[in-house]
Amino acid sequence: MPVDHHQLQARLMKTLNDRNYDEWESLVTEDYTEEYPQSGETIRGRKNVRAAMENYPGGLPQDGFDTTSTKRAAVEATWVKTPTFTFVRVEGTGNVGTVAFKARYPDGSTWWVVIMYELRGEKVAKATAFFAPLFEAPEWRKPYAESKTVRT
Amino acid sequence: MPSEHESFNTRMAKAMNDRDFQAYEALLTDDYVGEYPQSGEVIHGPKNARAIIEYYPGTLPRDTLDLKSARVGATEARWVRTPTFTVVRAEGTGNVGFSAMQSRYPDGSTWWVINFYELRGGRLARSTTYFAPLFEAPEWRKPYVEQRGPTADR
Repeated sequence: MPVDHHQLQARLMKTLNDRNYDEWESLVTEDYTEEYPQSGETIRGRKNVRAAMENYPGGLPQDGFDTTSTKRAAVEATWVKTPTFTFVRVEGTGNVGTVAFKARYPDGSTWWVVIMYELRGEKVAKATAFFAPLFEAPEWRKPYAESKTVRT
Repeated sequence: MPSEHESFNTRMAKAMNDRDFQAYEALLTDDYVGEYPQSGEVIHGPKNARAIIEYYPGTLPRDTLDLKSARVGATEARWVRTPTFTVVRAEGTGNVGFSAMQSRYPDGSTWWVINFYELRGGRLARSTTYFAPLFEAPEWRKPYVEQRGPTADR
């Protein structure tokens, strides 16, 4: 029975938005590893990842993850034209996928969080996360780019 | 034998690094659409896409893309443990993939560029791109974290 990535991601987001870290732990493997290539950090084990979330300076906000943006980026991505896009599989290697969503931080800033992850069984075993800040469309690019309103 | 994605990504990176804008443009479909979700910008067509890299203020440096990092992110991605990682397919929808690589900018800064894309006939038809700056690991997180070496090796 294949894992429903959409449902799993929705559950993960809910646990984080509710700051229900016990429940979060039940959705990842004990040796869950998270990597941040931008800073070179690797966090090994779900206890450490949980501690990093729980001790985030200022506290991660309740409902900090924008599930509306997740849906748009992951499920309704027009450039893929399928609700299954982010739930991609690598042939012969088990379950991997990607998800992108917006997150609010204690300082009031909003970032896109782009995660590439790997499942083992029905749990997340590894994630590589990138953090991309919102930015203003630059003037010089305006002749070439259409602009959408960026919701913060 | 290299897959369509490996071949495409290699050609795209070479066109960018050689500043060969003609070759770059030829790698895009006529109805190419690119999106930057961080700024809300949407780029339609290969001419506009070309103009954006060709006229980047200060000029994008030759060898702007770090192929060493791209190999890590795209081809030898440790977190997937397969050289075919980026060669992903969405069931029934043709060729989609994603890649991550480091890129240098005219101001000397280095950013990870993450691309979710769709190929049609060996050319880029859609892409959604995120730009993520390097940052220093914060002190408060150190008790929980293993720290990798210098920036270039990340």
